[in-house]
Amino acid sequence: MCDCEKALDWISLDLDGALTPQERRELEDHLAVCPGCAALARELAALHRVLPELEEEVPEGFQQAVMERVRAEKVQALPAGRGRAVPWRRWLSLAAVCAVVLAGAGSLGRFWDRSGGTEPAAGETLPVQAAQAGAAAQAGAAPQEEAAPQKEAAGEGQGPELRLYTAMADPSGAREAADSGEVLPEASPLPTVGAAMNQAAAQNEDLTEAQRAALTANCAAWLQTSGLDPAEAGLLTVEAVTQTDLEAAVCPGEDQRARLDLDDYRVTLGSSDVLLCDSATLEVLGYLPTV
Amino acid sequence: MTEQELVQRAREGDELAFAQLVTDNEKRIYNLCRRLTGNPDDGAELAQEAFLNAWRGLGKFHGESSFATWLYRLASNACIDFLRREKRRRSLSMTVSLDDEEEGRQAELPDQGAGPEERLERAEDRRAIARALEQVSPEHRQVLVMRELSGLSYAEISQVLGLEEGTVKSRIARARAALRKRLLAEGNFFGGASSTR
Repeated sequence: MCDCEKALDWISLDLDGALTPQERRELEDHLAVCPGCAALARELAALHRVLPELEEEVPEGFQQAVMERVRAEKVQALPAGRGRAVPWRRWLSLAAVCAVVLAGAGSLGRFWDRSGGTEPAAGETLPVQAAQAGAAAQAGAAPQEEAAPQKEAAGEGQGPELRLYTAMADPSGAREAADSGEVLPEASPLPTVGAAMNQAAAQNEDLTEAQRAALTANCAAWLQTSGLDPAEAGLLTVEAVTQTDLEAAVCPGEDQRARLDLDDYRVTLGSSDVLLCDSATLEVLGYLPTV
Repeated sequence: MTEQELVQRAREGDELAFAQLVTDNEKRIYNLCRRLTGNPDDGAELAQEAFLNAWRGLGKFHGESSFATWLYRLASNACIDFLRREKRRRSLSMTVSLDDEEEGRQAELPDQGAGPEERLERAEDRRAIARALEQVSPEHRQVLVMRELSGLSYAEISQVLGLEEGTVKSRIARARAALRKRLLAEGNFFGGASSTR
């Protein structure tokens, strides 16, 4: 038997189609003789009809906004939080290149002596920064819980020099990824510098001699032709271009200016020269005038 | 691709898979947040954060419920937390939505066979209900949005809220009654002689 006490619950269940036929009959019997409950039932039914109409369309650009933030998430713990987040794969490949450039330049010795497992101070040169970013990017990449190496992991296919950096940068010290003793393969001739760089950035594969040389050559050549002091071309710091950089940049032509954006790199050479390089081809697009 | 497959890929870092999950769930999540917070801007922000938290926390999601349910819970909790913070911040306890925004954002719904007068009345009804919704308690608002806007079942709601189904059923009943009480207090929403229950 339905009564006023049970009526609210039963009316609500009835709206959701959750009453048994028997219960339904009992409810109807009660509503037939109880005007108060009958009004309640009518009114709740009206609300039940209209409430779904409050559903709105999602604001424009919502999904885009979400995915932008998702992409920004992939880059973790960039030192000093400078500039905009850079896709971590590019960081990794660039880190590999620059680290090996440094190795080639003979500054490797410094890093061998460093005790591992401690965070380098902000403002350290690239290899530790980038390797750290690389290691942190992997550690921080949200969806991955396992420490197991993946195809894009820093360890695979990298030369011994970078393995050392990632081992030091990784506080836990145990970089399972860095277990292969392989040597970087010999270079095969590549048609253009741009294509080679693209390949490296896109696939994060082993960097050939030609590619490593190209980056150093790009910067050095640019400095020379522009009349700036080549300086100690060995020390490169690479960060993401900032909005301020974009506004202050000096570019040789409109094409370069148009291609320069927040996805590109600001490369600091020596102590003061800052070149702005295309993230895809690694060629120099412009520079920042020294104040 | 099933939700499970999308989640697995997203867990491995596949952004496109996650983008699809966003598409599949955005309407529900946005509407939950929009109605719980009472305004579109906070709603959009909290909804975005819910997805972002889902992305970050994919490693901890092990399929105990559907992804949609898990995501819904993230969003719902975030909104309740937000409302509590807002309440502490504000002297007035409730926000009132702006009628203009209300009207602009609503999905176009054809009132079958309704003349212009009826359509206008209907729009006013929606506004009145939206206002009343913002005036009931967050817990009541929560279940009303889940049941009536998102169309979640009792079972799904109990999963999201971590409550027994019986509790969910009675909470929904009381929420409906509370909403009705608000509307009665506002004025002549239901027209004619209404119950005093």
